[in-house]
Amino acid sequence: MLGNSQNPIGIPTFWQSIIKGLSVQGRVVGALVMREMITRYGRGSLGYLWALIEPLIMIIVFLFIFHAAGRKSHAGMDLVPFLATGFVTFFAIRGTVGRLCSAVGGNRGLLSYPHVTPFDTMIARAILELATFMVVFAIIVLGAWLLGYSPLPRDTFGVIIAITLAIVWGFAFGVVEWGVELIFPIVEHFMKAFWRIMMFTSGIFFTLNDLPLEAQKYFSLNPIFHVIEHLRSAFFPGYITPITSYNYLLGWIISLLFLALLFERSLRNRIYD
Amino acid sequence: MILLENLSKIYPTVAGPRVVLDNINITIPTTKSVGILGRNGTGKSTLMRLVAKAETPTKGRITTTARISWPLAFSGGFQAALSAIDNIRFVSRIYGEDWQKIVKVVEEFTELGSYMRMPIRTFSSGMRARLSLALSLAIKFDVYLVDEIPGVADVRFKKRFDEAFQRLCTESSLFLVSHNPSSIRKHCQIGCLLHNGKLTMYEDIDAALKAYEAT
Repeated sequence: MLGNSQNPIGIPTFWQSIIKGLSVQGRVVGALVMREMITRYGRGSLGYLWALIEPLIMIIVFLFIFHAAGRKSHAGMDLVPFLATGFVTFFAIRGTVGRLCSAVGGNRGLLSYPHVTPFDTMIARAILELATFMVVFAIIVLGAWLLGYSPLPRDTFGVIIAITLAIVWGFAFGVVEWGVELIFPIVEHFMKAFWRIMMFTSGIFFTLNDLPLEAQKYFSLNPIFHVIEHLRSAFFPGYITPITSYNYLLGWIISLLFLALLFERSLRNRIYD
Repeated sequence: MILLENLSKIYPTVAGPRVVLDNINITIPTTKSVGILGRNGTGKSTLMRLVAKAETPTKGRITTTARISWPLAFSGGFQAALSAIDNIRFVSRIYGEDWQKIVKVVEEFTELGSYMRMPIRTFSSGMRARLSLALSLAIKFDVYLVDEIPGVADVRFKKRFDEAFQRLCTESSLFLVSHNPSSIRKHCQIGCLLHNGKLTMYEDIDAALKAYEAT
């Protein structure tokens, strides 16, 4: 069906345009990732250090608090990796959402190139966030392991799955937030309060098991809590989360992605005007 | 070719919707150079931005089968914080070109020298224009979009640009928007007249110019 089915005036068929479209998109996203990397991490900028320092500061502060309370571990988990699975994940998700919301505005000039779509700029930023997240997490955990403060992950594949799903959720949520803010700019102000609430309800420095059963019901509605619980379950040999499957999180991701694509389609024209 | 189907562009304004392009159906060949004529504010540049996919139509669609450039000498797509080389690298990548080759061509053409490694925000407007012109010419396109033939002030660069532009006219075709009938007559074989939101094509450039003068 491919190749010889071109009509006389050379307009590509359905499949030809899909394949061509995919290869162009791959090229564009690749170029955008390289470019974002230079602006954020390259040429003397301290961006990469900041990605590491922000969660490190929080981890150190909480280490002191836990030590002051006389605690050496939490529910059988060493403190450094316990806090790292919480804070690094949370900052990575929040960072992804924030960067996605500003991706289109920050790359407006590039939209004048015909192949670059608003969606491409968001995909590129999410890919870079995912890579950053993995590197920062690996540095902190391996550093702690070398110093004897952390075990190695029990299930590395499970850790990678949880980290990836965290960013995928952040990507979908970010696109939706971008769309909502484009329609209702006022929402931006509420989001600051929203993230503050999330910081204290996502199980960053506690686990679902620490909560009374009645409270667990409400806290487990938070998808970020799910990600962190899954990550800890995969990382620590001794921790078993009461959350038994990824279904809830995947439900969130699929619904958000649906909304995200809907927004992208319907708001596309608004961006250019 | 550039296929315009049911193409409309409507801008909302305080005085109500303004129809710039009104349900245009036309096939513009890309094997010959096309000149777009029309009075001020009739939507020539809008049409070009639509063809460049820098804007989306309100209704209808545009299908192109040729490789079409961004508007010649347009420098809005550069990121000021990045160096000339980084910008060239990015643009080469999206067009699937070998960036090292393109950098070399641009470097020779613009004689920017050590400025190639400096952020574009340190460039004078002349240097910026030279860079974007050189980059447009270094990447091969089937059709170059030109919104008025750019004037080049620098005498030394002007000669090189004129030569490059001549070569470009023989190897590729133009999609030229201009107020200047003589530059359309000089560079184009086909004329299109944009009037009251409608686009009419004339196979004969003199007929197009005559119709233009009658508007």
